[in-house]
This record gives sequence, structure tokens and C-alpha cells, in this order.
Amino acid sequence: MRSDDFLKWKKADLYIIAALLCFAAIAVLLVKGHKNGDYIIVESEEGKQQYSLNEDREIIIGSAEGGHNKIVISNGYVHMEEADCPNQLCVKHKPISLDGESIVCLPNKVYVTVVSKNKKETDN
Amino acid sequence: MKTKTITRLGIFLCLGLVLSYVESLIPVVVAIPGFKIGLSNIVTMYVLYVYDSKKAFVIMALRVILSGFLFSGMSAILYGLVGGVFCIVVMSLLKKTNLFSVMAVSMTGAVFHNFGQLMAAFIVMNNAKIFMYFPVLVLTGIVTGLLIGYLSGFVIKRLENSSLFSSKDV
Repeated sequence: MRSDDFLKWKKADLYIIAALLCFAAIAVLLVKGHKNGDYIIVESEEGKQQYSLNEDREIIIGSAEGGHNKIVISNGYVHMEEADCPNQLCVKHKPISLDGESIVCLPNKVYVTVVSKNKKETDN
Repeated sequence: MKTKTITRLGIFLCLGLVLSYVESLIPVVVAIPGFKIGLSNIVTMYVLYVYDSKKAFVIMALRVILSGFLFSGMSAILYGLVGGVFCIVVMSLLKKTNLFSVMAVSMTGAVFHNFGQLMAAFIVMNNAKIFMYFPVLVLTGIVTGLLIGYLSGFVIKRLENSSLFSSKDV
């Protein structure tokens, strides 16, 4: 028979929740910088390309399976202007500009990352 | 395993699938990849608490695979399984200590489920930047885990008294 306290909070709960929050904080610190980025790296099935954030431009990515993404750099920010993926999460993402920030389109396998000149790339 | 046990576990598996399907019908309010309420985890929690972690793992794995075939797509199976493994391992460890409430176990399970999915995405994409989603997913995991934890606890406690699913005689 479960005790009537089955649905009550226990003391140790506080510690585990605090631990989870620390876990999250560490993840943020490890991945993100606060500097404005200098250029973006676009990785897709077409390969890996670098573009300056200082030059407004449009980048169109098409994949073998028919995936289509349009990346727009404007005013030092980059965002996904349009994509044909079902969830549209990449398009909904707000424009990014800081070192370490990224927008990904998982279904079409397109990854856009902001990098700054002084930092070495951290992937691979 | 007793026939009764097998039958009941089969019912729970179906229940988990139905919950998974119902959840897929709900429009995603939050624009974060990997976000979900996790209704089918109520079943996982029930099996974990009323039976054991091995059965919970098997029911979870079968549910993920079947729901992949039925509606969520084959590639979802990989992320679901990795997330599920992380989730069940952590939850069964916490449950064993007997120090944590159902809600806390569920919340930690939810967070680690998300973490597991990010790990799978990291291995597939080979890009560490995917972990940028982790802080937000921890917060959503805490919230959804709390909700599912309460619901699960409620179900576990209530079904205990019912003649049909008495936990004295699983």
C-alpha cells in the first residue's frame, strides 16, 4: 500500500532540481560567447561554406531530396528566411548575430553557425 | 512471466501508443526542437513504479519503435530510444534511493530524455552547437516532468486500490 505521502515533495527533490539547473547553466557557458560574430559557417549536404556577416546576402541551399532553405544575412544578423521543412522551427528562430549562436534545420540537415575571427572552430 | 502480466503490459503498451498519437495531434505551441509534453511517459512511470525498470525499459522501447512505424517516422526512433535509455537509467537510479518524490523522478527523467536526444543529434550531426538548445530543454523538461510526474503519481496511487489493476498482484 502506498503511503499517503506518495504525492508529496521530499527534501532531496530540491537538490536534484538545483543540480539540473546547474547542468543547464554549464551547458550555456560551454557553448555560447557574447561577442558579435564576424562570419557564419553554413554546413549542408552541399558542403561547408563561410560568409561574412558584414555583407548582406542571400544563400540558397537545395538538397538531393528536394530540401530547400533560404538563409539571409542582413545588418549583421542572419536568419532563415524560408525553408520547406514541415516544422518550420528554423524559420521561426529569431535572427542571430552572436558568436556561438546557431540556427539549424534538422530535416534538411542545414546548420548555420556564427563564428568570430579570434576563436578556433569547435566542431569536429 | 505470468499471462496476466503479459496481458497487462500489452495493454499498457497500447495505451502508451495511443497517448503518443494523441500528443502528436496537439499543435506544438513552443518553437523548440524536441519539445513535447510526454503523455506516454505516464505509462512508463506506472510500469516503473508498479513493476520494475527492466519492464519499463522494454515497454518504452517497444512503444518508441512501434510509434515510429505507425506515425512519427523511422528517424524519430533513434532519438526516442537514446532519450528513453538515458531517461529510464536515471529514473530507476533515483527511484532506488527512495529519497525522491515521483515528481522529481519524472522531472529528472524528462531532462535526461531531452539530453539523450541532444546526444543522439550530436552524433548524427557532429556539431556541438546543438547543445545550445539544452538550457531551454532543461526548463521545459522540469515543467513537463512536473506535470507528468503528478499525473503518474495520481494514476499509480489510484489504480492501486482498484480491483482490476491491484499492484499486489501484478
